[in-house]
Amino acid sequence: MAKKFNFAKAYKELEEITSQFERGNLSLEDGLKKFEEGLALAAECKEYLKQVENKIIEIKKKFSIKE
Amino acid sequence: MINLRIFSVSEYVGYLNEALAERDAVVEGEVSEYRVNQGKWVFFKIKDENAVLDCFGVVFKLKFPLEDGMRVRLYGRPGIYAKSGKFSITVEWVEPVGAGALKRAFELLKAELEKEGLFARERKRAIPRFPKRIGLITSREAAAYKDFIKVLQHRFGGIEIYFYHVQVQGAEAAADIARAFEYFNAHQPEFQLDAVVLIRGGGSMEDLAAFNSRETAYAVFGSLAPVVVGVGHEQDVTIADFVADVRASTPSNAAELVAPQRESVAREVAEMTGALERGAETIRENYLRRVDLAVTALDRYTLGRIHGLEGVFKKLALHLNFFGERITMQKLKIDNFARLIKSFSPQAVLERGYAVVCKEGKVISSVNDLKARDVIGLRLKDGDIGAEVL
Repeated sequence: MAKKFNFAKAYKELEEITSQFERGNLSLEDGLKKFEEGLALAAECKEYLKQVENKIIEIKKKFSIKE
Repeated sequence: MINLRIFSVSEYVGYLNEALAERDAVVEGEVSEYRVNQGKWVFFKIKDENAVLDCFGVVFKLKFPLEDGMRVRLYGRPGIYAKSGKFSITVEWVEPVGAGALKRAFELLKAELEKEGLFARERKRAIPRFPKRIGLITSREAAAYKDFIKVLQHRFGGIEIYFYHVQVQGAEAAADIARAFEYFNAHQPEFQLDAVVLIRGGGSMEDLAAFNSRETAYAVFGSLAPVVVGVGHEQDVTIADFVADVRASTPSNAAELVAPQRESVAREVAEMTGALERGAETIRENYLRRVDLAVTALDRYTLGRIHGLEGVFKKLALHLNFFGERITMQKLKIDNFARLIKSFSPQAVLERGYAVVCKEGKVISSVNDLKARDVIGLRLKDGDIGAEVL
């Protein structure tokens, strides 16, 4: 999975394509294109969801603690 | 007397203040004549049965609003104010003492901040459904930290957690928390945090004091990223909870509110995939139906034409028949005619016993064309003979 993959964006695009399909006013040509796009997005989303790890980055405080 | 040093008044006040500075202490007593000037300066007296002292402070250093009759402990610098010659304590911090005072202080601060609009519903921001980066403010030793990380891990992956360790209890806690928020605000252009999560485990009201402080309240309020606060057990409610954009009941619940459950998201993706497939199928069916309709229309048209042609053929056939009949009739007529003609032919007459007379190759039909001794030819049914006219 590419590191740049943006799950939220892909999910939103998938939602949009799905709603276009649900409205059902796509032409055959457009529909086929969107269908392929949607399936690709869904596959990427599924792949992303397999990730289990979250990355923890601890902030190193540079300044001293005083008050 | 002679041996004593002589001061000017100013010098003496300064001298006393130097001595007093070494006598700083925590003083416990009851608040009276509490008042705030210009929303900034705080004046009150602290007293017990036998003594009373003037106190002065600035609002932002007080974690809670005070109230007459409230039992407090305060720390400050004792000194004489040169202009008035009055002794007072310049308060550095003050905290309520006892459950009753804590509860009262909580109520007072809550009312005050509510009035200031820190809890306003309309300023609450939503967290994106799929956060990419979040800030986490808590103590790394706290169970809250482990709970949060664990629950988050179970729900969703691929999130970057910028963790800022703070004291969540004790005198430094509120300032520490405020610094954490300042840090995240300063780095927001770089981090682009979708949310900042402030959590700690449950505890007594004293333990939770930092979360009930004005300082933390303003820090949460001032956060550039939406803030999720999850403190203690479900029944613990702090001032920070009220200011938070999203209030979680526990640290684990904070994780639940920050990240969706991967299974349910996976299900949604699967459902959308299904909808796409159904949609594509519908489009396919629609087009098939349209093609079918077109084919049917074409069929109907072609059949129509064929039927038309059949008609033409039938008519043509009818004509041909008629024509045929006419030909037959004509043929019949011709035959009759032929027969008729045949009946008029000389041979037929000869057959009946007549004879044709010819002279010099010409047929003679009158006696006037003949004279005696003319040689004539006679044609009979079965041959010609010559003769002489008498």
